Amino acid sequence: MFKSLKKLIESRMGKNIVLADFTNSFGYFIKIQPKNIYDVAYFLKHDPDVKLTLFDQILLIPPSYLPWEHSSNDLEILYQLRSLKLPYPVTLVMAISDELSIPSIKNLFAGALTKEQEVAKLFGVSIEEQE
Amino acid sequence: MKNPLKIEDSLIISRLEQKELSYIKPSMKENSQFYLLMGKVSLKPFLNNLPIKIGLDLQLMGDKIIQSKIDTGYFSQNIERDLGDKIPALAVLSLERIEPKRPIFYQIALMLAFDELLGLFPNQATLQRYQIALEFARISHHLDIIKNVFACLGTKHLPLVKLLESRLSLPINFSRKVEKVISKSGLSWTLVSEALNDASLVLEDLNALVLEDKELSEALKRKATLNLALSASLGLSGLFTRANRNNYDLRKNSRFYQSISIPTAEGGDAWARFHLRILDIQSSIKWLKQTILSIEQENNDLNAISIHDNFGTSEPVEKFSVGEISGPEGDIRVSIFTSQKQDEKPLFFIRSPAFYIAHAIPEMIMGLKIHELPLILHSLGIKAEEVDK
Repeated sequence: MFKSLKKLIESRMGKNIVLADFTNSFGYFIKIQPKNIYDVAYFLKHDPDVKLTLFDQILLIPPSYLPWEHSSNDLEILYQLRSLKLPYPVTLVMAISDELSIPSIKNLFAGALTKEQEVAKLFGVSIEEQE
Repeated sequence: MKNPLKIEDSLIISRLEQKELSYIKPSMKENSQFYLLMGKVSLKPFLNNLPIKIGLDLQLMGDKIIQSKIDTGYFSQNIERDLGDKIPALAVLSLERIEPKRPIFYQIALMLAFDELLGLFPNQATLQRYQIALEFARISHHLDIIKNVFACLGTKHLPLVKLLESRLSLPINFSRKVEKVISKSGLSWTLVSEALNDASLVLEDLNALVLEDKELSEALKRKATLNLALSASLGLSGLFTRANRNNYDLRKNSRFYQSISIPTAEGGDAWARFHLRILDIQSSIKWLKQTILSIEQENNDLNAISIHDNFGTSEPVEKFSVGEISGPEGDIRVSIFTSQKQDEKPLFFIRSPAFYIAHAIPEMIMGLKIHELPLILHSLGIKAEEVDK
C-alpha cells in the first residue's frame, strides 16, 4: 500500500515532492519540503484512494533520530495522519530551520491548531497562516 | 460586562468527590465574562504542590454559550523528558502521574513500545493478560463517567451503577495499575467469571432503565454533537468516531481481539457517546467471558500485570518503536525514538486522547445553555492530569 502511495503522490503532485521515504512496523514516513505540507496534507486527506482524514499528532525531534542523511542540525517536524480504515499512519517529515516558516494545516485538520501553537511557542517554529 | 447569571460553585462539583472537572467559579479574569476552572491537581510525590489549572473562558449571550476558549499548558514535555532519564521499569511506573486512578492504559502502551524497542517479544499469554487488564480498566473507566452523568442529573439509576461496580470490584482492582512485584494473592479465573456473569445481569437492567429514561436522553440528545469529519479532523477517535457509525478501533488490529464486537451508534451527540459506554461495557464483559473460558486452567492465578525483570538491562534492537492501544476515549500512543548518536537519550512522545477532547470542548459547547454545561463536561472522560501534564 505504501509503495503505491508514493507513486500516487508523485503521479498527482510531481516527482520532486517525496524527498526520501521509509517504512517500518509503524507505517510509512515521507520526507517533504515544508512549503509543500499543506498541499500534500490536502491531497492525502481528500484523495478518494487515500482518505487520511484522522489527525493524529505533531512531533518535533532532532535530526539524528531518523534514519536518513542530514546536511544540517535542523530539527525535524513530524505530522502523523491516519485513515479510519487502514491500521497504520502516514508520517510527513520536514526539516525546519530558523528562517523557514511552515504553512499551517489547521484549516484541513482542526486538531493541528493546538499542536502548531505548541511548537511555535515552545520551539520558536514559525507557522504561516493559510488563506 | 458583569454576568447576570448566578451560578453556584457546587453546580459542577462532582457529588462523587472525583477531582476531574472539579469546580466552577465566576470569572476573576480580566475581559472574561465567565471562567470555568476545571481542575486543580497536585502531582505529589513527583512534584510538590504544583497546581494545574485548566480553564474554560466562556462568552455568553443571555444564558447561551456563544464562544469559548480552553486554556491548558504544555506540561507534557516534562513527563516525556522525564521518561528518557529513567530505566524502563521505573518509566512505566512513573506513568501513574498521567492518570493516577487508572494508569494502566498508558503503562501498557509504554510496555508495548519497550517490548518492540528492546526486542523482548512478550509471549501470547502476556499479551492476552494485557488485553484482559485493559478491558477491565475500560469497564472501570466507563462506570466512573456513567456515575458522573447520573450524579449530575441526580437520577435514580446511581444505585444500579454502584451495584454493577461492586459486582466487578475484584477483577477491576486487579487491573488498576502495573505492579513491579507480582502479587502473590491472585484471583481465580472462576471467581472472575462468576463476577462477570453477575455483572451482565445488572448491566442488562441498567441498559433497559437508561433507554427508558426520558430525562437523561433529553439532557444528552443533540447536545455537544460532532460529526465524523469534524471529529477526525480534531484528532478524536474512540467514542467520537464510533458515535458516528464508524467502527474504527485499534483493537481490530489485534488477533487477541478477533472476537470482540466494536459497538457503534449514530447521531454523534452526547447521548450516543453515553450509550456507547454501556454498550462498550457489555462488549468487554462478553469478550472477557469468552477469553477466560479459553484460558488454560493450569495457569489458574490471575495476578496483576507485572513489568518484565529484564526491562532494565536489555539494549535497544530497534531505533524507533511505538506502543499503541485503544483507550476508552480514543487512541493512546507512546512513541520512542533513539538517536544515531550514542550520547543522546531516547525521546518519548505520549499521545493522550484527553488532550484532543479538551481542545474540542469549545466546538462541542457552542450554543449550549450554561446550565447544560456541567452535565456535558461530566459526560466527557477526561482528567486534568491527562490534559495538562
